[in-house]
Order: sequence, then structure tokens, then C-alpha cells
Amino acid sequence: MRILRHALARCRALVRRDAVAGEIRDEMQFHVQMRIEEYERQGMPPDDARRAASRRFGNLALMQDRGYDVRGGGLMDTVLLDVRYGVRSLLKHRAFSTVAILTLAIGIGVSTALFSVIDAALLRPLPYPHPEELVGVTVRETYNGKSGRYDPSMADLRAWRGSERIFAHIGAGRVTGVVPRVVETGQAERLIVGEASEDFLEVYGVKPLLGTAIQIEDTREGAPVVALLGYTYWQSRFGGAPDVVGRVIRIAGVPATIVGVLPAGFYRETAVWQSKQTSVFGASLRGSGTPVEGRLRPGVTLVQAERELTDLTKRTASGAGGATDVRVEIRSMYDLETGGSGKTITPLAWGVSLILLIACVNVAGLLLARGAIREPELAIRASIGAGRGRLVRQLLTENLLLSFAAGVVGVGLAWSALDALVAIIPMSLPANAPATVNLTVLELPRRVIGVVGNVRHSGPLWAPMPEVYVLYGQAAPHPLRIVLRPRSSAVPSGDRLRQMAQAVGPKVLVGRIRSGADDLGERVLTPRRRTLLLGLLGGLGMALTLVGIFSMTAYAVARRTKEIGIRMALGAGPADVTRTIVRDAAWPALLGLSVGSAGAFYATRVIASFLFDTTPHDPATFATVAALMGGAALVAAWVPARRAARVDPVIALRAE
Amino acid sequence: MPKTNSDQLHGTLDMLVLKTLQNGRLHGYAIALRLERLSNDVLKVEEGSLYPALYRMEARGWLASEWGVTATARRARFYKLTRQGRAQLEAETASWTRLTAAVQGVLGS
Repeated sequence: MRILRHALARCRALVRRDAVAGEIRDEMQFHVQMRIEEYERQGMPPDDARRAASRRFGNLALMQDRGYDVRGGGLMDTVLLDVRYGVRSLLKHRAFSTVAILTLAIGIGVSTALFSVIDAALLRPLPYPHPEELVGVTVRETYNGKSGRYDPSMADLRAWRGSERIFAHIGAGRVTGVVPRVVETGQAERLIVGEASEDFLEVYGVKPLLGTAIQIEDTREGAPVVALLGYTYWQSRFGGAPDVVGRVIRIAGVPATIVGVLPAGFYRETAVWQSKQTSVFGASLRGSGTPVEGRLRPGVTLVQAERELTDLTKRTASGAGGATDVRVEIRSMYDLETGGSGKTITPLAWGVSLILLIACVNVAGLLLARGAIREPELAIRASIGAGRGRLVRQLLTENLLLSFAAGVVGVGLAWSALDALVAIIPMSLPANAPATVNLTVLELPRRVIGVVGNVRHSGPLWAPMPEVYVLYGQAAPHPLRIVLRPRSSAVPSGDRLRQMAQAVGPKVLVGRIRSGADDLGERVLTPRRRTLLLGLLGGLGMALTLVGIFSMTAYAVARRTKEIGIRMALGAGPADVTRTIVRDAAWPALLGLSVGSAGAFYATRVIASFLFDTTPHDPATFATVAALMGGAALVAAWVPARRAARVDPVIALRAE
Repeated sequence: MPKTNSDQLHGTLDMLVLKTLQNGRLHGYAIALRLERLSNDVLKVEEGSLYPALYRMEARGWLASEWGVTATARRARFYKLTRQGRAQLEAETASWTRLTAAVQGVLGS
């Protein structure tokens, strides 16, 4: 309360400087006037009374100033003075100010830009109410010592929902992202179709804009298929018609009745959601390929949910018999959704923090060096009456000015860099990636006809999985992904390929046609961008470090100008002096290089997980970086040392 | 930082000013008059230095001030003790009494 009142008084003093000064003047003049009248009453002539009263009061102007200082106006005045002095001093030492401001600005700019991206990508990834309650559920079955993780069966899901203790909502759903389905609404097109059980939308807190959600009756085998339209698709195909509910469309040849429309923003890419139907037998099968997602009741922890659900599942022993051990595993949706980009973001965040750290250390070093040089100035100021606090305030003001300038430049940098960053950072978060084992496939291969080498189907980043190839006719009739290698080196045009496909049948729709290079290029896009970003960060870090080494060494040598003059005056030759100075500067540089290399050696082990086909301890890289840093230190020492050594010793001695 | 003489003088002046305000609000000139009378003109400081002291005590929350009208219908700034100021006065009086008693004891022995 007192602090507040005090601050208020100071603020008033700042805003109404004249008013405060006026109050003080009025108050003191009243005092003097009263004293004059008192003296006059005692019989003094008016002039004498005035003189005596003013003598008695003391120096009126001085008292007013002191009063003004106490009332807070004085502080603001000296702050203004400090600011003016600081600006002048920064302008005078332009090289120092430029290096310091730019260094800080780069640190601030890069970290602001990247943290904005990270914030967008990681910290606010789920646009649903209470995203912390959202979880993905899997079941780990251990059978004969081998364990596998499966999507829970519909029976599991319904048993868990029935217990009512853990989940507020739980449902199964997936998007057929890689294999769009043919949807006919008068004309056929290939669209991304989602499949959902009852209660799936409720997990996300999504309510249909029109009509109803999927009900449990819709999920029984043989029930009429129902469909919900995505908002974007509803707008583009049906023009947002409100009477769309009740119409029938065909999804993969099966008629489906539209029962509702979803609000904008929910799975924007998915055109249509249809009811996921399971047979009585299928309902008890785990590993169906449809992930199960739930919303925990408020206050239920992951550990608690896992324990209770595991107990429940063991008790009811639902699911395929024979599993020796069953454990329910729950991961927060947050983890699941950002798991992939976490790999990108974590090293980035570290890199950015390091950049900021380097920038700060650089500037701190610069300020220290400058502080040492400014000792005489500070001594003079102290000797003519500046108190310790006053000097500290002055220096603080200067540094605040510096930081403020750097902040302005840095935020400007961040602003302009943000768009570029957003473009190159892999932001597309995996939405319900179907990473599951498909049991039906395993049952099918009746006979092994050969053994083939591993293929990294998921892209070069993922280790090859044990795989079985089956004849196409044996698997379910999914849309196909056809790979072709032309006879000649001339690749047939896309139009030609489409014509050939049309010749097979009128309903054969060809989606995207891409060259193998493009296809593979897309798969390595993420690591490539990550490498680019880390490369940028590394380069930036190195540049900053070079600037730091250079400026620190240069400052340290510049401080020795007087010493150089003395050495020269005592007969040392320019070459000797230069050599001494450079040698002295080389020691800390060497020490830093060895410590740094050792640190890098260990740090690369951490980074090794992001590299492939390079040894993390690439000797050439280490040598290049060391040579650059060492070189910078030597040049930074050599240039000012030589300059100082060339100057007439008398002038060098007079420096400062 | 060690307490300097001027700090101790400040402390004493503060205590005396607080004491003058014990029975109600006064303007600066009245405080000065009362200080004179109470101390029998022993404490002859420049009267003007009373004001920075008043402002300082106000900033510390011991005093509150407001503009008012004197008995002779003039505009003046009046000061009064806050609760905090009253507590401060009691604390300082107590410690002063202890100190003088101790000094008396030493001198009288």
C-alpha cells in the first residue's frame, strides 16, 4: 500500500513536474511569509524582517530542490539526464554499440521467432476444450513372451465407457488419409473419408452444426450407413444447403444417409465421416486399425486410468482368448500429436537457447571490457560527487538503453523471419497416424514363396519393419498405389497414364501422379528442413561466437595500447610487440577451443539421432570450426596490436 | 553502510517532528514554531530543512498531508500522523528513553 502510494506520488511528480514544484514553492513561501509577519509584529522594519526570515529559512532555492528530489521529481530528472548521457555515450562509441546491439538483436530475434513457432506448434496444438483430458488408448498383449500393442476392440471400449469412472467420453475413429475413397454425390470423386464410432465426436467436444452425431445403433453390422459432412465439403459440394440431412450419397459404392454436418475446423481435410460398423465377432477383435481416443474425467491421472482399466480388462477378460497378459496403455493426446514434431522442436529449442546465451555472453564480455576502459571516467565522476548508487543508476540506464535498442531491432528481425520460419519448419502434425498391426493380413498368407530384402516403406527415416507381401487379390480391395518403371528412360506423361487407366474401366480414378524423386523427396522433406534449420542456427551461433571472440580479443588488446607504448619506448621492435600480444591472446583462445571441442564431442552424441550416413564426429568439421575460431582470435589480436605497434610510442602513451 | 552523524541527526529530527504532531494536524510553520518552543531554541537548524524531512517522512508513510486553511484564512499544507507514524514515534521514544537511561546510568555512577 505504501509502495503504491509512493509510486503514485512519483508518477504524479513525473506527469505534473511543475505542479509539484509549485506546491513546494507555495508551501515554503507561506512559511517565510509567516516568519516575516512574526518579525514585523516584533517591531522589525519590513526589509530587515524579510532578510532575517529568509536567513532563518536557509537557501530557499536549495530547499526547494531538495524537497523536489525527495518528492520524486528529482529522480525522474536524473533519469532523463542519464538517458540523454547514455544515448550520447552509445552514439560516441558507435562500433561498440553496433556490435552489442546487433549481437543482442540477433539473439532476441531468433529466439523470439522460433519460440513463437514452437508455441504455435507445440504448446497450443489441440484446438479442443480441455485438451489435457484427451488421451489415446492402446492395449498391450503379451503372448508367449512376445508383446504387441494393439488398438482396443469395440468391446473393450464399451466396457470402459460402461464403468463411468475413468472416461467422460470414449470412441474409435480414423481417417483414411492415404487411401481416399470414392464418394458419389451425382458425380464420383476421391475424398478423404473418416470412420467413427459412437461417442467419438463427443470426445473432442464437437457437436454437429446440423442433425445428429453417430449413434450406437449405427455401428452394428448391417445397420444403414450414416454419414456426417465436414463443413468445408458441405459448403463446396452442397453450397451449405440446410436441407442436406436425409439425402443419400454413396461411399465406396455403399449408400449412406447424411445425418448431420460438422462445424468448421474439425479435421478440415476430412470431407465425410461415416459410421464405423463392426460385427458381433469383430467387436471383440483388437488391432482393428482404428485408434481409440477418450476424454478422461476431470482429475483422473494417466497412471490411475491405466491401472484401473488394466484391472477392469483383466477381470472381464474381453478380447481374443489366449493372451497371457493384458495391459492398457494410455498416452496423452498432446504427446501423441506432438511426438513427431518434438524431435524437430527439442534440438531447435536447445539451439535457440544457446544462441541467446552466446549473444548474452558476448554482450556481457563487451560491457566488461568497456567497463574496464571506463574506469577513469567513473573515477572522475565519483570524485566530483557522484555517489555509488548514482553511478550504478547511470550504467544501468545505459545498459537498459542498449537492451531496449536491441529489443526493438530483434523484434523487427523476428517479425520478418517468422514467415520464412513457418514455411520451413515441419508443422504438419500427424493426425491419427494408423500405426497398427492388421491382424487380417497376418491370417492370409497361406504359403511362403520367397524371401525378399527389406524396403523402407515408411520412408528412409524409419527402420524397416518385418513385412509380408501377399498377392493383391488376397487382400481387401483397397484403392491401389501403383509404382511403375517405364521401359525406356522417357517417362510417359500424366495424361497418357490417365488415359491408360480409363481404358481399364470408367470408374477407375487416378489420383496423384508423381515421379519417384518427388515422392521420396516429400518423405525426406521434414529431416531436410530440420537439417536446414539446424544448419542456420549453427551458422548463426558460429557467427556470433566469432564476433564475440573478435570483439573481446580486440578490446583486450586495445586496453594494452599504453603498455605497447611503454614497451616500444623501452626499445621493443614492432614485430616483437605484435608477437607478444598475439601470443598472449592465443592462450585463452586455445583453452576455449580445447574445452569447446571436448564439449562438442559429447554434444554430438545427442545429435547423432538426427543424422544419417554421417559420422557425428566428423573430423573435417571439427578442424574447420576450430581453425575458424582460432583464426578469428588471432586476427582480432593481430590487427590492433600491429596498429598500436606502428604508432609513435609517445602518441600511444597519450592514448585515452 | 555505517550510520553517519547526519543519519542520527535525521532520526532525532524525525522523532521531534512526529512528537509535535502527536496532538493533531499542523502546517510546516507551526511545526517549526513548536520545535523552537519545545527545545528552548537549543536546536537551531535552518528552518527550510524541515521540509525535505517532512516529504521524506510522508514518503515513508509516517505522515499524511493535505492543503487546508489556517485560522487567519490562509492556504497552507497541513501534516498529520498516520497510524504507522504513531507506531514509529512510540518505537523511537522507547528506544530514546532506553538510551538516555543507559547514558544517565553511566554518568551517574
